[in-house]
Amino acid sequence: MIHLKNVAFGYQGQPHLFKDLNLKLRSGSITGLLGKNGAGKTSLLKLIAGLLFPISGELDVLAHEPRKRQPSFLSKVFFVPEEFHLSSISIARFVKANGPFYPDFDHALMERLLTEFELAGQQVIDKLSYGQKKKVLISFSLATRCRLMILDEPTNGLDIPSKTIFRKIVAGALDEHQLVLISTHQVKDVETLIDRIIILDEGNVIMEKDMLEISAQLQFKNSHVLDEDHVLYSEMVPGGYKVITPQRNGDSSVDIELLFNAVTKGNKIFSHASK
Amino acid sequence: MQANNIFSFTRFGMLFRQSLIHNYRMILLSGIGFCGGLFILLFLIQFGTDFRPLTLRNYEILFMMLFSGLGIICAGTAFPDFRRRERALNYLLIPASPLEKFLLQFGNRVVLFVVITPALYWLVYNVEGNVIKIFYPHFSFESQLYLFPRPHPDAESLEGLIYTAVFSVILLMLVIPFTGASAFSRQPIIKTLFSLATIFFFNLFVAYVMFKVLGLQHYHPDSSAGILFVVHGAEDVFYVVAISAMLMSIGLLTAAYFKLKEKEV
Repeated sequence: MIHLKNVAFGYQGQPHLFKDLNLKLRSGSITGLLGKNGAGKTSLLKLIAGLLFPISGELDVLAHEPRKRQPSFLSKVFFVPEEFHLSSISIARFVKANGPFYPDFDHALMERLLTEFELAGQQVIDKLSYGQKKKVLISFSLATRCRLMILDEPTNGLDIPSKTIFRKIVAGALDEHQLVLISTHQVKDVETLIDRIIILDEGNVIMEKDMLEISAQLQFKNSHVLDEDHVLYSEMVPGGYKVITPQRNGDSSVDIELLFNAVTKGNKIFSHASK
Repeated sequence: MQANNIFSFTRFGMLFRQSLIHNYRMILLSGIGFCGGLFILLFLIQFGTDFRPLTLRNYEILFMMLFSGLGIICAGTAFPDFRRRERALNYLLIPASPLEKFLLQFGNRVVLFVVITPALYWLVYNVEGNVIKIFYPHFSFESQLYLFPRPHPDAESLEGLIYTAVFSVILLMLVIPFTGASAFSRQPIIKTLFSLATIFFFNLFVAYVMFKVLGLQHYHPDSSAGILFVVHGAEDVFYVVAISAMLMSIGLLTAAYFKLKEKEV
């Protein structure tokens, strides 16, 4: 679905952000894109959406070259940016104006999602809070039934109940032909949602794995004492340690924050776990 | 719908409809503002001249001033979504082709303006005149029909050519700010005027060097001496103006299209 081969990209007058980026993503997953500030997450999302153009390399998204921004490509992709603008019209009018561009637009789903988020079609977008506007945009993106959905910091501005609803509706509204790419700093918000993780650091993909694969290899737990022999990575927390050890006794839920810290600090946890 | 990625009438219709739904308030307010403003302006002019009706000449001059000023503002504020990064992002991701987006902007900001403004001007002029007549019966209002100055009777044979040249210049006058609006994100009208002034003064400098420094003013070629094109008389001047203005408009519109197509956010 998404294939980046030796992609180089940089902003004018600045060193290259990506020098030789390679990435392959398939449909039927909710992929989390993680990285430190300035790692290039948003730039990568914009390259995939065709909003930025690579300097060199090949970029294939849904069998299209994104930079051409062809209607047949754009009608299959929906991008929810972190900062966005919506016209000062009612939600119903917004749907009426923009829905027809997406051939698979699901009006019933849109209505259901708005109800879940406690919004009504007659509400004027301009009078909504930032979080409510974001809910409108997220609902609209899911109702388009686009094959590729790109969400940049989708939970920013959402209150706690809305984050729960967000996870529920994203998980429930997708099928195996779709791919959701979520870039976020709020890893706890999407921990139970994503099934694949990509970690970006200094312009390179330093980890790309399925959650199942991670939990099959690694165990994440809290410990009062630090058993140095088995621990692959640890962080001191109040009352003990958060540790990553090789998987020994079945699965454990993946602590993405701990995993992210371990990987970005250069720990070879996966190669050590398989020894 | 998806087979043609260059232009589709269905998609263009959807884009037009979307633009109407998003901007209907602004369109309505602009129309009311123009009509109301013109009504008040005409009243003030007539009030200041003791309710003497406008002569045809004044009627035309007022129209040309309004048309030029508003035309530059209207064309210079094309691509309004480019003024803010978040809006530009939304706009570029609308599933329509760059050509459809370009044609919609050109149609709204240049073609519709050229068609609607004279009609609205004529309408407001007549409505205002008839309304004033009710309150001031001594006001001898006359309806005006023509919007553009008629050529001098001696130049009637060149009428078609003159109108072509005038049309080409008007088009260029609107296309310049339109192209500026596609190229500059912030304050496009000011930046376009600045760029235009820079180009003008550069050309003036080149002309000065060619004529005064290199002595080109002393060169008087004979058209029989194998020179490709030498301007002789009014007809040639109108040809040169019409063709060069048209070529410049085409060049600038092409540049505006590619600015839209290659826009990165």
